Formats: sequence, C-alpha cells, structure tokens
Amino acid sequence: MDNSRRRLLKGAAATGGAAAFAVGYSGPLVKMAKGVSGSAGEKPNHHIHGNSLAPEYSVDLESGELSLNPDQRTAFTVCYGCTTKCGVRVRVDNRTDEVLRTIGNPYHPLSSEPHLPMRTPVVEALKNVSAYQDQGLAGRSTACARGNAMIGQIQSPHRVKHCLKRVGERGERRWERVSFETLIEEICEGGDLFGEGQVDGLRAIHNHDEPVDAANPEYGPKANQLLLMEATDYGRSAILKRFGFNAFGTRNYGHHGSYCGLAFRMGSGALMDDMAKFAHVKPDYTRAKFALFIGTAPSQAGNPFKRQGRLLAEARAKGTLDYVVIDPGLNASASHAAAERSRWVPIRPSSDTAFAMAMIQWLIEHEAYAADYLAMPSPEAVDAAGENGHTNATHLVIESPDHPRHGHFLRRSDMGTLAGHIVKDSVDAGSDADDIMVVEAGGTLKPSRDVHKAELFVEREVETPDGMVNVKSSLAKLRDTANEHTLEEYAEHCGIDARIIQRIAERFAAYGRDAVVDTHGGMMSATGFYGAYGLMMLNLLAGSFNRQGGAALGGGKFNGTGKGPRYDLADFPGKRGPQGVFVSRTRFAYEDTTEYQRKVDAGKNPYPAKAPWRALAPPILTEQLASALDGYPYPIKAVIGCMANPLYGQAGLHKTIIDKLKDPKRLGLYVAIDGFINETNRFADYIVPDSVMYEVWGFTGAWSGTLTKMTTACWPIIEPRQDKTADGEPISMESFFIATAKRLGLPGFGDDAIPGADGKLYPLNRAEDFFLRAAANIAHMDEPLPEINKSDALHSGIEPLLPHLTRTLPASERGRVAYLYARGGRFEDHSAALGEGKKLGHAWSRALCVYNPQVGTTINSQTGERLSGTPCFDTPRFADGTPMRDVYPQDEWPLLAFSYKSNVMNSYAIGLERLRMIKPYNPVLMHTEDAARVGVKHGDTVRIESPGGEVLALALVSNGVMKGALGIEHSFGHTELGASEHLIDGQPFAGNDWVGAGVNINDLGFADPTRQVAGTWLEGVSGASVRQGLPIRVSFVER
Amino acid sequence: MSLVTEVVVPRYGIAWYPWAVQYFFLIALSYTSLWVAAPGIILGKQHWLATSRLALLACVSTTLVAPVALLADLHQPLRFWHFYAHPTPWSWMSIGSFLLPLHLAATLLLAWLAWRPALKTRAQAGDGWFSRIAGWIAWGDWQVSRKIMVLAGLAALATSVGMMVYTGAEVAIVKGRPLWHTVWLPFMFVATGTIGACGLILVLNRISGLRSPDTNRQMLAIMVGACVAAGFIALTWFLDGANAVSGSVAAALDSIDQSAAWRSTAIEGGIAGVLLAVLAFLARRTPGRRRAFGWMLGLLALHVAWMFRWVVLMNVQTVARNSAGFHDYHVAFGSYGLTGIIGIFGLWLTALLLIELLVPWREASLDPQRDAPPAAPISNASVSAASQGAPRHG
Amino acid sequence: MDPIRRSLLGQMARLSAGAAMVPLSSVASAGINDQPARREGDPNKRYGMLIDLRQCIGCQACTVSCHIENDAPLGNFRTIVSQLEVEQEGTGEVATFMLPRLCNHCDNPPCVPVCPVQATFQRQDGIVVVDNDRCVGCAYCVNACPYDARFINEKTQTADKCTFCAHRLEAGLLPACVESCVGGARIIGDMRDPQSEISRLMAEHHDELMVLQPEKGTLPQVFYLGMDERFTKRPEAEPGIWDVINEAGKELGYEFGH
Ligand SMILES: Nc1nc2c(c(=O)[nH]1)N[C@H]1C(S)=C(S)[C@@H](COP(=O)(O)OP(=O)(O)OC[C@H]3O[C@@H](n4cnc5c(=O)[nH]c(N)nc54)[C@H](O)[C@@H]3O)O[C@H]1N2
Ligand SMILES: Nc1nc2c(c(=O)[nH]1)N[C@H]1C(S)=C(S)[C@@H](COP(=O)(O)OP(=O)(O)OC[C@H]3O[C@@H](n4cnc5c(=O)[nH]c(N)nc54)[C@H](O)[C@@H]3O)O[C@H]1N2
Ligand code: SF4
Ligand code: SF4
Ligand code: SF4
Ligand code: SF4
Ligand code: SF4
Ligand SMILES: [Mo]
Repeated sequence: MDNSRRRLLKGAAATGGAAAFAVGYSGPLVKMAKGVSGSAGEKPNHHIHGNSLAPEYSVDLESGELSLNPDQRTAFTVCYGCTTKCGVRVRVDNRTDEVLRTIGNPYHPLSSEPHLPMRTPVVEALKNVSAYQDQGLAGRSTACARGNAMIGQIQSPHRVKHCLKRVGERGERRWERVSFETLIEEICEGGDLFGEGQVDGLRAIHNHDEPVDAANPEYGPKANQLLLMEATDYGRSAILKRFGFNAFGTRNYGHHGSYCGLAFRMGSGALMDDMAKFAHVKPDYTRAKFALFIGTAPSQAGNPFKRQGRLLAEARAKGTLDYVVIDPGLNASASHAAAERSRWVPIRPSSDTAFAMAMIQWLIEHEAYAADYLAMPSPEAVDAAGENGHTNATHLVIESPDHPRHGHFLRRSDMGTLAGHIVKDSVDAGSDADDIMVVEAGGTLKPSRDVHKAELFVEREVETPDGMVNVKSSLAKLRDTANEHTLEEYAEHCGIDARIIQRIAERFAAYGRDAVVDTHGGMMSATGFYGAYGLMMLNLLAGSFNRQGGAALGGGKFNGTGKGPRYDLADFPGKRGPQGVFVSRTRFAYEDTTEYQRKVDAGKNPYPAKAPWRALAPPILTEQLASALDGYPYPIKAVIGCMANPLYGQAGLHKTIIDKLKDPKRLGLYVAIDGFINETNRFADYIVPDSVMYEVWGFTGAWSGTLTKMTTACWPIIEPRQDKTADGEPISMESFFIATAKRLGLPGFGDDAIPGADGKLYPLNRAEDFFLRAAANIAHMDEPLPEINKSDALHSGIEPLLPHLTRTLPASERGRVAYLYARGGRFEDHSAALGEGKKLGHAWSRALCVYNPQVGTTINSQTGERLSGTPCFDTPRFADGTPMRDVYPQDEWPLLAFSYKSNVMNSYAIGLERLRMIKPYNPVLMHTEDAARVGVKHGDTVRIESPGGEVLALALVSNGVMKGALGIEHSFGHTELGASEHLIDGQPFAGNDWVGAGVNINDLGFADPTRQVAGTWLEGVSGASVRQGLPIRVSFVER
Repeated sequence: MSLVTEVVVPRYGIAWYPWAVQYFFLIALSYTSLWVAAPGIILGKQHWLATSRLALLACVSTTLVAPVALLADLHQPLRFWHFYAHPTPWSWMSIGSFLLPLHLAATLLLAWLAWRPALKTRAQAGDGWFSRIAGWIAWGDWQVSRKIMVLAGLAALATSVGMMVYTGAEVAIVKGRPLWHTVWLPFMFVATGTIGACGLILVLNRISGLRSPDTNRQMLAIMVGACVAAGFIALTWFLDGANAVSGSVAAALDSIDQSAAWRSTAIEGGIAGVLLAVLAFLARRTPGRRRAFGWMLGLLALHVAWMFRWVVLMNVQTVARNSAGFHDYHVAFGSYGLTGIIGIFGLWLTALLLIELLVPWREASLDPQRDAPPAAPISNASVSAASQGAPRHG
Repeated sequence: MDPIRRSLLGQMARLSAGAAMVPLSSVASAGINDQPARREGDPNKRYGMLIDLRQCIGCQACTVSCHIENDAPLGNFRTIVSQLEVEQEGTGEVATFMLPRLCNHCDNPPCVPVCPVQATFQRQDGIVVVDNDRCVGCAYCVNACPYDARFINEKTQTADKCTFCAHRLEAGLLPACVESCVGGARIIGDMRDPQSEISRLMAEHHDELMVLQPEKGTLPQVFYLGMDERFTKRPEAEPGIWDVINEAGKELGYEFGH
C-alpha cells in the first residue's frame, strides 16, 4: 500500500471517528446551541426561585397588611378529587384563565379544623393561612395530593371535549364528532341511528300511558325503561333527578352507592332505624379516647378523607386517642411513629360478623355496656336524664310466631284494655299514642314514655286480648344471637386470637362511653350488612352515640334545592312522581308482586323468586344493569349515565354483562355524559362532553363526622374547556338535560319552570338558572347571610361570577348570594359542634335499634325465611343461601382477596401524571407464609386466578397482611381513562400504557353461580357488590 | 426476611453521565502516561525513548479529548466560562478547572517541544501539504535549550500531579456517597490509571508498528507493579473498612450483599484484575511472550481501568442513599449514553490519527536542539497487515 | 462488622497505612471544601422545619403541592414521603412509617463548598439556594448531598432543590408543602425567634428530636419528632418494588425516569 493511500485510509478513519463523535456529542452540542443565549435549558423566571409560582398575595410580616397579586385570583369552590368533596381555594392566572394551584378553603370544615366563622372577612381568612404570626400553621387549610394533582384533569389530553357518536359496534373505540344539536335530535327522536335498525328515542320511551308489562301492572309505565345512573351527588344531581324522576318520570335511577359502601350504610341504617337514607356516624376524633377502625382506614382513605386524616393524626400526636385498626391489610392508619397509640390487628376478610358477635357477647357477658343509658326506653327518659337519643334495647319484640305482629314491638294497641294492665284505654294502632311497651325496673309493663328506667333483659309472656304472647326485649334477643357460638368459634372464624379479642373488648369497655367504632368499605363483603350492623352495635352498647368523643352524626347540610325561602326547586307545574317497581327489584317486597301471587294461586311454593327481591335495599346499580339486560323484571331501552363507571368499580360486572351490553337489541340507546372515556362509557352510543371540577355549578353536602352544618358551593371559576352549544352555553350534563327536556316538551325546564316565593315562575334555560336560585335559597335560609362588601368581593375572586348574578337574580338577592360564593358555601360556626355537657351539637333522635323490626320481619325472597332483626353471625353465601365455600372450596381457592383504597389515587385519578409519578403501580400484598408456600418472593410476578378471571401482578411480600388473604390496592388496572387508544374521526386519541398499569380486583369478580338472572356476587340483604373476600389462588410466574 | 418493607420510596436518576467516566478515564491515562513518558523525554533515558514517544502520543491524545468529555458532563456546557468568572478555591472542581487548562498547555508544550525537531525536518522533506503543515506546527526554525524542555517537562509533571490530586480528591471528599468517601479511592485511581496507561502504550506500540521490545518489557513491568499496588490498596481499603475506619467498605459489602448485579460486577472486576496481574506477570518473563501477548494484555488493562471508573462513577450512583436497593440505570442509547461513549472514543481515534498524519511523533526527540534524524518512511508507521511481523527499529 | 473487627484482619488493619493517609484527607478539607461565607437573606432569621412524624399520614399532599408550586419536572421531587412497613422486633406488630424528605438546609451543607462556581450558596437565613443563572449544571452538588435532596432540573438544566419556598416566605406566606400538610405535621419557622411555633416546639421536644444521617456532620435543620432511629440512615429493608408491569406482564419501566 502506498503512502497516500495509507494516509487516505487514516484520514477516512479519522473522519469516521469524528463522525461518531459528532453523533455522540449531539446532545451537548444541541445544548450548546441553546446555551448561546445564556442557558442550555429553559431560562426560569427568577435566578433563585426558578419557575416557582408568583405568590397569590403577600402579607407584611410586621404589619399584617395584605396585598393582592393583580395577576392572580383565588376563588373558592369544591374539589372532585374524591367523594369527600372538600371546599378548596383555587389560584387562577388572570391572564390565561389557567389554574395554578389548589389549597383548602379556611371556612370549610373538610379542609380546616377548626374552620373560620363565616363572618370573618375574606381578607382576614387569607391572612389566617399566611405566615403572619405563624397563623397559618394552626389555621392551615389543605388540599390533599389528589386535590392538588386534579388540576391536571382540566387540560388532560384524555379529556373528551366534543360530542361523540360511536362508529362500528359498541366498544370498538371508534367515534365521530357530531354537533350537540344533532346529538339531542337523534337521542330524542331515535331512528336507524347506527345502521343496525330502529332505535327508540327518548320521545318514544317517554310513555306514561302504557304499562311496561301488562301482566305485571305494578311494574309501572313504559317510561320506566329509561335508566339514569351517576357516580354520586357531586353537587349537580338535583338537575339529573329533576329530569329523571319529575320531568321524564322514570322510576329508574342508580348511583354508585351499591358498589361503594352500601352494606355498611344499610347495616348502619338498620341500627339507626333509617332504612330510607341509611344514616351513619363517624367518630368525634377530637374528643374520642379509644377507637376501633374495622374495615375503614382513616388517613388511608375514608370519607371525609382529609378531615379524618387530620383529626386522627392530631389526636394521636396529642396523645388523646388510642386506637386499633382491624383490617386484613396494614394501611396508613396504623402509625409506627405513634406506635404506642395505634395498633393494627389483621382479620380474615369477610369474617367481621364473627368479630362483632364476639365483642357483643363479651360486652354483654361482662355487663360492660352502658346499662343506664340502654335502660332509657324513650325520648322522655333521655330528656329527663339530659342525654341525646335513646335505644330500643328494652323494647319488647313479639316472639309468638303466629301473632299477626310477630317480629314487631309490643305496643299499646296490642294490649287492648285488658283488666289488670296499667293501660287503661285502647289506642289506635299507628297513632301517636300507640306507644311501645317496656318492662319497668321491678317488673311492670308500661308504655315507654312513662318509664325512665326499663328492664334490659326481658323474656316473658304477656297477656293480650289475643291471648298470651311471648315477648323478648331487644337486648335479650341480641344476647341470644350472640351466644349462638362460643368466643373461640368466633375467634377461629375471623382469625384473631380469642385472647386478643378479649383484650380489645376489655380495652373498649375500659373507656366506657368514650369508646367508638367506625367501619365502611371493609363491609363490602358477603357478610357486610350484618357485619356493619354488629359493629355499629358496639357504639350502641358503649352508649357513645351522639356524645362528645363518641359516634357523631354530623351537622347535615343547607339544602337549597328543595322548597326554599326564595324559590321552590322541588316542585314545579306539571311535575310527575315516578311510579312502579325499580328494575333492581328493591324497596318492593316480593310478596307484593303479581308474580308471587300467581305462584301462590297456582299452589306453587313462591320461593325462591326468580331473582332476589330486596325489600330493604334502595335502588341499586349493582342489579339494575344486569337485570335490565336480562329483562327481569323488565327490560330497559335507554341508559343515560353521568360520571359513573360501574364496569370498573363493581366486582365481576364486566364479565357478567359485557356481551349483553354490546347487543343493541337488549339495550337500544346508551348515552354517557362524561369528561372522560372510562371502562363503562366506552360502550356508549353517544358521549356528551361534560365540565370537570372548577367548571361546574353545584352544591355539595356534608359528611357524617363533620360536626357542623355545611354546604359547599361551586361555580365555574374558570371557563369550561369543552365545546359549546349553539346557544353559547358549555355542553354539559345540565345543558344536555335542559335541551332534551325542552325538545321533548317536558315540564320543569325552559321558561316558567321554577316557582318563586313571589308567586312568579322563573326560567330554567341554563345551569345557573337553577343553581343560582338554589344559592339564593341557601343564603336566605334561617338567619339570612349578610350582603357582601367590596373587600370580600375583591379578595374572593368572584369577579367572573358577578355578570351571572346580575343576569339571573334580582338585585335584592345578589349581595347575599355573592357573600355565600365569596366563602365557598355556607357553614355553621364551629362552636355549634358541641352541645351542653357531653352532648354533641347535632344528634340523631330516632331510637337506635338493638333489634330492627323492619329488618326482622323482612323475608328473604330466595329462601322464604325471615331475616335476623339483630346482628348475627354469618358466613359468605351466594344468593340462594349456598355457602361460598361449598362452591369454591378452600383447597382449590386457598386465599381470599380483598381490596383497599389507595391513599394517593382514586378510581379516576390514574390519568394524573403527578400521582402516577409517586405511585405508578399497585403491587399486591401477600403474606410471607402464603408467598413461601407457592415459592413467591418479594417483587416476583404472580398469577392470581379466581372463578371469574385471572390477572398478573407483582407481589409485595411482607407480614403487613393477614395470612390467607391477598390485598389489592384499588384504582389501578384501568383499560380506559387514557390507557387505550381510540379513534375520533380517524385520529388517534389517548393510549398511554402506563395509565393501564397495575391490577383491579374487580377483574377477579364473578357472576353468582347460583343465580338464574345474571348478576354478580352481591351481599344478601343490601345487594352491595362483594369485593372483599373473593376466593382466589396464586402462582409464581417466571419473568 | 427484613423487618422493614418499602412501600413507596422515591427513585432517583443519576447526576453524572457516562461522560464523567470518559473524562476520568482519559485524564488518568493522560497524567499517568505523562509519567511514563518522563524518563525518556524529561530525564533523557535513552532506553526509554521508544516508550516515551508512545507515551507522549498517548498523553497528548487523551489530554486533548478529556476536556471535551468533561464539557459534555456539564448540563450547561457553554457556561464553562463561569468557572473562570467565579474562581472558587475551596471547590476541588473549581481547582480542577484551573488545573486542567494548565495541564493541557503544559503537556502540549512539552510534546510540541519534543516533536519540533522532527516537524522541522518534515517541513523540509517536500511532502506537499504534510510538510507545509509540519512547518506551521513547528512554527519557525528557532531552537530552545534542553533546559527549557526539561522545565516544560517538569511543569507538565507538576500539572499532572495536580490533575491526579484533584480528580482523586474531587470524588473522595463526597461524603454523600459512602463508596466514594475513602482516601484509598484516589490511590486506586492512580494505580488503575497507570495500569491503563501501560495498557494503552502496549496497544499503541503494536498498532503503530513501533513494536519496541523495550516498551513491552517496561510497560509490563510497571503494569505488574501497578497491579500489585492496586491489590495492596484494595486490601488496605478493606482492612480500613474492617477496622471501621472507612464506611465505604461497609457500603460496598452492603451493595454486594444486596444486589446480584453488584455481586457479578465485583466478581468480574476481581477476576479481571487478578487475571491481568497474573497474565502480566507471566507474559513479562520472555520477550516472545511479551511480543505476542503484550497488546492483548494492553487491551485487558484498558478494560480494567475503564471498568473501574464505570463501576465507581456510574454504578455507585445507583446505590440508593435513603432507601434500600438500587436505582435503575440502563445505559441509554443516545448522546447521554452509548453513542456518547462511542463518540468520545471516536474523537480520541480522530485525535490519534490526526497526530499520526500530521506529526512525526515517532521521531520525538530528547533534545530539542539536536536535529531530528531523517524521517522514517511513513510506511513504518502503518497499521496495515503488510507491516506486521518484521521487528522494526523506531 | 463486629466479628471481623476483632479478627486478625482487624489487627492488621490497625497497623495498616490508613492512619498515614490522614494528612491527605486533612489537606482535602483544610481550606479546600470549607464552607464559604453566607450571603443574601435576612441575617436575623434562621429558618428550619420540624416534622412531627406522628402527625404525618403519608398523604403526599406536600409532594404534589410542592411539585406544582415549584414547577418540578415529572419524576423529580423537592420533597417526597417514603412509606414503609415496619415490624416491631419481638412483638411482631406491624405498622406504617411515613418519612417526609426534603432539603435539610444543613448548617454545614456539603453541597455548597463543592460548587465550582458558587452558584449554590447558603443565605444568612440558613436557606440553601441555587442561583440558576450561574449554575453550570455540573451536578457535583447533587452527588455531594447525602440526602438526595437535589436533582438536575431537565427543564432548566440546572441544579434544583427545595428552597423552603423562599419566594413564599418572603411574601409572608407558608411554603406549599406546609400549607397543604393534611396531617399538620410540617412546621416551618424562624428558629431565632423564641416566640415562633417552631422554637416553642423545639424547646418542648428538645430531647426527642432527630435528624437524618447525623454522623455525616451536616447539621440538618429539618428535625423529626417521632423518628425511629433506624431510619435516620439508609434502612435495612426489603426494597420497594420499582417495576411496573402491564396486564400482559410486560415490564413498562418507570414512566418518568431520567
Ligand atoms: N385516598 C382516597 N381516599 C378516598 C377514596 C379514594 O379513592 N382514595 N375514596 C373515597 C370513597 S368513594 C370512599 S367510599 C371512602 C371509603 O373509605 P374506607 O372505607 O376507609 O376505605 P376502603 O378502602 O373502601 O375500605 C376500608 C378498609 O377495609 C379493609 N377491608 C377489606 N376487606 C375487609 C374485611 O373483610 N373486613 C374488614 N374488617 N376490613 C376489610 C380494607 O383493607 C381497607 O383498608 O374513601 C373515600 N376516600
Ligand atoms: N375493588 C374495588 N372496587 C371499588 C372500590 C374499591 O375500593 N375496591 N371502591 C368503590 C367505591 S367506594 C366507589 S365510590 C366506586 C366509585 O365508582 P364510580 O363512582 O362509578 O366510578 P368513578 O371511577 O369514581 O367514576 C367517575 C367517572 O367520572 C368521570 N369523571 C371524572 N372526573 C370528572 C369530572 O370532573 N366531570 C365529569 N363529568 N366526569 C368526570 C370519569 O369518567 C370517571 O370514570 O368504586 C367502587 N369500587
Ligand atoms: S380529600 Fe383530597 S381529593 Fe378528596 S375532595 Fe378533599 S382535597 Fe379533593
Ligand atoms: S440536604 Fe443536601 S442539598 Fe440540602 S443543604 Fe443539606 S446537603 Fe445541601
Ligand atoms: S450543579 Fe450547579 S449548583 Fe450544583 S455544584 Fe454544579 S454549578 Fe454548583
Ligand atoms: S418548602 Fe417549598 S420547596 Fe421545600 S419542600 Fe416544601 S414546598 Fe417544596
Ligand atoms: S402533607 Fe403532611 S401529612 Fe401529608 S404526607 Fe406530607 S408531611 Fe405527611
Ligand atoms: Mo365510595
């Protein structure tokens, strides 16, 4: 090789090296190119503070003087980050209308404790959360991680902003954009909308003249074939219900309650004698001295999330509260830093009745109940004793099976005028004078209002005109039920050592009336109703209801959407009341159906009913969809869903109904109103884009445990980002129902829809027509609120609201309404939380039930047997009464899966990057011994199989979970909300794999194998979704 | 099973990229190869001349490329002037920023002085552009005294010591990384750097075609010595740790205990080091073995020196400081990963070849006053297959 | 280490050259690597934070509010809360431990003297800040901070860390993480002012307070109440699961990795 050729080669090699360098060095080179102007990155706003937000205002630390930042406003509204619905203060950039950050509303009891009195000037409230004199440390008003991250929903790339109509079959993830007006027309008028044949529109379905089923006239009119569903009342339900119940007139409406916490709520309702609304209580954290959290996890989740978390943390740090967390999984409630005050005791899923009955047994056996309190039989007795509320512990239950009122309480009307009785006159059954009979200490039978102290344990015969009747006091009945098993049997069943149960009972008893029990989501097992009833019974036995440091009802809310002082938002000309039977076969006794009668008439055993009828349960979404698709009791023709996502949230629902849901012959029309495409509305025919939080009008209520009365107000503090209607209103749930009602000519919407106190009728053409009038009602209730002043208006960011006020309300109402919005709602003073002595300010006044006659006289439509009227031991069963373990034996399905809420996520938060960056995945909790048995190590991949499906997961192996149980953190394992790619007008939309990471226990749910009409596994009494205690097996997967 | 299980813990990325490895690697080769060059160039040891010429080539090429890698490890590369606008004598990195240009200047000066006679000769050789360029580089026909050359050499030695101290101290003072925070780390940098430099010179000896048997012998001897030193340092470090003087041992044992990846790295590193020492020891004994295996051992030595820095700088950054376990780090493909690493080697190759093309480095002389010997035919320096086999004289 | 310590090796080590090298390390820290003078900020104040771990519920409100307030890139944190399961030796009881972390605004901050351009410095009020106009992004400070409190901000390409929200403190407001602390665990204030809440609490709990990695001599000014000493250092623990898999079991990696 000659010289020059060699040189050429070397030169070429050098060039090659240089080229490799150029490629490899491109990164720094690009930076250098940028850096020529001074910085290789984005140059931040400030050399020290970087891009930190400019403060919304400043407070002079010497003088306390406050100066606003003119570029920002802070407005008060509500957070949708979870169902807690806290009142928040939101910083908005005036120049861009973008939300900068969220923090708590200091007037709001769900965000601060104590909350500020409403009369505090807004400027003072703002100062109160500042560093001035360290005020903000005590005056802190917070927003949680979700509440902060939620601002991402507004600009989310996964947000639906246009009206969509499906392309192809349901669920194909293909859509086309249509105008709002076309959408309304197609939905109302129907037609061959999808090239699949005729679809009935709402006009056709809105038929009140013909019965939905002539053979079963009790089912009601055809109009019941519209089903409305929503998540829960995020403050706007009033409009949805006004449309559904009272304008359109359908019977069928469902919300997420039945797969949220219905088993708990009904168990609580049974105890609180409220089978209509299922009242419940929460601990008075601030004053409680001992608490049991069983199946609820304050500070991990819970409603109200922040308030509970804050109060629990404070109480344990101050040392005022000791508590035990009884839960299959360890969670954030049990604090290692405060280990001497908080303790976690693992329990086997779905075994809570065993624990509750063991506790009840021990307390009764050791007479460790509030005997004096329980002995008070009537309001008169408690009033005399200066107490709040009484119980029916001493009330006498008619035990003779052939007595017409078997299972009910013995009343004066049952006694007649029999000689020898202290009852002299006969009274009419059901009249005010028809008092309950009790046995006074000493042995005489008397009307309860005449007795201050009654016998607790009574079991005897009573002479009545109908002969001798056996009666038993409620407490005696409870004792008998509790003694059906031994403590050891209960212990064996729930997996908690008998000695530990005893120790817990001793401690509980030692705190007397300062001990309190709380439960919630853990009751979503197959034994949840009686579990919750039994656990709430502990509060009753302790005598802690309505007491400071005990079980608190809370203050309730200012309801603006009823018949208020300014406007009647409940009634309107032409209002309808819904008729007929709920498609969920609830609130209606099977025995009252034509079907039952037909069977009886035919001489057949009417039991079991074709599918469960649950006389005690409210309308339940857990049954509505599946039953309607199976056509029993009747089929539905249209579903309008707002914000709800049952296919993600209800265990086993997807698999149980999906093929039928896709079939347009079973369901003609499915309209979803939502901000996002979720696992359920993915199968919709139309999606109506909706406002998200901060863009909506509404009023949200209070949670139990919020000791004062309150209502949170929200209004569109920023301009909604979705499309507008031709009239220029944002497309939303409200504009959808208004437009639909107007097109169908339904009453209650359009002009002349809202009666005013002045006798005039006012229009309902925009959302604010409704909500601003509700605001006027709230502002004028009780003692009307003052009028706003200039300073308040300036400091509360309500400027954008003012034009709406002017155009909607008369001048005389505006000042007070503005005052309300300037503080984000209406809030009773913190001082109202407490009453005199040990009383709480707000109390539950109905008799608390040791025995609930309504429950005790209800018949199980499958077995024909009566339900127990007191809490009782129960094991997981299917609808026909077959024990779960008979169908899915332990040797095949050795573990029980349960789920628990994520402390950072919620069911629809997975699209938020700022939460995913903290918790991108949910490893499943496996006990060390269970893991060892199947050769699984911490961090391994496992396959979890159930009778309903299988999922792959990573195992977090530790002793932080009950042996034999497997815990799955909820809110992961999505297939939608951004996880899957859709095509809108052929353009790709969403499709981020990380949004779909993790597992959802509900994919392991299954259809109840004993049912004829398809349905998932539901709790027997309530129909609540069973998501705790699913039989599973786990195996190691090579990765 | 541990009593503690992490449920949510943050993950951290790495702060120093592979550029840092490249810099530490190249700069260690730079200062150690300078030392290897010293006996010949500075002290005038004739038998060391071939080695010194190679070492000078190694030194200049690495010294030129190292700062380029360093610059890239700044996230704000064009702000490098801030170093000089805000001198910060209490910061080792700042001290380094002043030393580095000095070192660069001193080594270049030294090399230039050593290369000038040959450059001048080439300038007269009528080799077209190459002569012209040689003339430019030589920059005139004047001569400097041997004394000046020695002074330049001493200056370069001084800066190289500075480089050694600063690069070692810069890392070793970092308390925040227990694995770095040991006085033994700087020594290990030197030992492995020396191993690398010897290796590089062995490789250059072969591919340049110089094939100096002296060089093979000398380099293997030093390499064996450096290996022994490295072993000794490692042992002392370990004993210090056993004696609880150095927390970095505990941190290291911890890492090895907890991570399969660390275990295999430790084993790999250990084996490579011991293998190198043993092979170098064995190969060192006869000229034939030295000739046959020298360059292979050179490659192995470079590998050891580079991997040591990779483990120390990259792997150590993956050891979580607040949580158990290790942060994930996968070498990215792009500029801040693999292509960046390759790019720097590319630049190095370019530098070597440019010197090869433009500078008659083979004729580097001990005495800047002495006229260079006639330029050896370029073909001697070729890397081509044809040139292999026959032993040649430099 | 104890068994080895008593072993022969240990004996040898004591004789080893380790001690001889001490002068070198003192060179490294005498003058070089010393704390430069503090500058800027209010000399009459010294900010610090007290975190009552008994009141921390691990809600991560601090994490997210800080992230938004200070525009941190996704996956980087000026503060974050570790959540751990801790089993009590002996009793076997298990509980959850929440440990918020942020910059400790150390009184002897190792991150400061390393900075080659004095871009990061400690103010007279104790707040350690970064001048991001000057920072060259060498990341030396990031490695030098034993607490992983710093990172290179990929947007600005400069070092980033908690500033105690100096911009808010200066406006008379509370830092984002403090004002949104749901459990009420975070207390910030001027420790020179004996009337301040933090001074009061520090006096009250003086003997119970702990700091992270005290042995590093950094003198952290974030104090923890209710701390378990084990967690002042790198804990011995089963490591957190950092993998993310999809429904098919495919590893997705961390979405916000850097
Ligand atoms: N962070 C956060 N907070 C939230 C929400 C959220 O998504 N995230 N959601 C809100 C909503 S909608 C609700 S309804 C509330 C619910 O709040 P909670 O009722 O407190 O929460 P859940 O996680 O539903 O259930 C409580 C606990 O029950 C346990 N558990 C499971 N099975 C059983 C069992 O068989 N027996 C017993 N004893 N325990 C069992 C679980 O491990 C869990 O810790 O939280 C609200 N707050
Ligand atoms: N395994 C298991 N299952 C559970 C639980 C559990 O702990 N474990 N928790 C249960 C509980 S307590 C509940 S309450 C239910 C919750 O179940 P649902 O209330 O049915 O479901 P969410 O996921 O809360 O659905 C709300 C939907 O609203 C939409 N959305 C979100 N934000 C906005 C907005 O701002 N505007 C509008 N228009 N739409 C919005 C999204 O599409 C989201 O999917 O899930 C239950 N399911
Ligand atoms: S608890 Fe958090 S997410 Fe839920 S409403 Fe309140 S601030 Fe929002
Ligand atoms: S915590 Fe780290 S960044 Fe903060 S001052 Fe201390 S060493 Fe510096
Ligand atoms: S990254 Fe910036 S602040 Fe940190 S040491 Fe380097 S120059 Fe200083
Ligand atoms: S003080 Fe500010 S910067 Fe520091 S952690 Fe808190 S919010 Fe973040
Ligand atoms: S906000 Fe407060 S309570 Fe919540 S995790 Fe942070 S420090 Fe703990
Ligand atoms: Mo819920």
